[in-house]
Amino acid sequence: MSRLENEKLLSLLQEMMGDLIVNHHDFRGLLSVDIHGKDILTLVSCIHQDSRLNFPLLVDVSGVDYLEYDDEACLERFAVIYIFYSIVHDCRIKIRAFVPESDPAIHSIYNEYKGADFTEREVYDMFGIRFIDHPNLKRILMPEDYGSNPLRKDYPLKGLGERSQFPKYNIYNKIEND
Amino acid sequence: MGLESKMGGIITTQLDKVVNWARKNSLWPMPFGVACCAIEMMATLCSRYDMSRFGAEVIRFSPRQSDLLLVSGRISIKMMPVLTRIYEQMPEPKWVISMGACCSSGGVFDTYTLIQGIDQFLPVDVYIPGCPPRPEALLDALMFIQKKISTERIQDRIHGN
Repeated sequence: MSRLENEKLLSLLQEMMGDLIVNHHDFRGLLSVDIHGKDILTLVSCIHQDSRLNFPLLVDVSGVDYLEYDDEACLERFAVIYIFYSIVHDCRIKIRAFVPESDPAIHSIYNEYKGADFTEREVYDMFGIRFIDHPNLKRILMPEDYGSNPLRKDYPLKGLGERSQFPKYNIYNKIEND
Repeated sequence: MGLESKMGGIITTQLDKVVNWARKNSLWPMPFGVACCAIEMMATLCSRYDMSRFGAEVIRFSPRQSDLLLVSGRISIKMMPVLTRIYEQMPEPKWVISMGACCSSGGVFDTYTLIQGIDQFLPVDVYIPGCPPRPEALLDALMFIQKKISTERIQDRIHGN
């Protein structure tokens, strides 16, 4: 099958999703599609299951904090970015799902793409965005009782004293007391 | 051995000397290599620099069989409990070398997740500056440890004191 051009891909998506696609742009050949976080499952099941699209590979899931961003394209403070790759069409698509600050939660795509397991946990760890229906949503990089989300823009680089208030991370006391 | 009381205190010094001589020439390092400093540490152990010239070639990856903790690399707040546990597992007497800038002070990683110097949690005997330090610097630190051991008394190293 030949390479799927971005225009064709976008028109297919718009045909299936309609108004749910809020914004789209093309940067150096990579099609980027903006949606609201609540529509993520609809879009992901489209691109996973529709035979014309056929994106079987999840490349990455990451988070962005748009705090103090002066850009009208940023609908909310947070965004979760998904990159998918189609092996048959040899093309990628970037999906940006905006998540509000008041309730940072989005539906997990684990049921469609099993590879989202660890990457979604990382986004949860670093940005505090909850993934609804994720089978094992807990911190993956920081200690489990770490109270903050380090990659949020309002979190200071040197932390809030976690590195000096170390004894509370003494995990062995917990084991010995049991 | 019962000899000390008969010889009026002199033998105590001599015993210290004998024990210290044995300890300082057979240091068994426990390598805790977590970053690029560990590469220099490996170079120090290999034939070109050859740490066995100082009797410290028996690298033990079990803390229970070693008496020199060689921490080389940056330690995160998640790793520090592990390191503390390894230090606690080592039998007395034990010494600690903090190798490199990250381990001694956090180095360039002045961030939320890195311990700014392991001496906040472990009693460090020798710090090695450098990023990473040359193998000569590690050998120098080892000789410092040997010098320190030769001035110690046995009573100082009884566990619990």
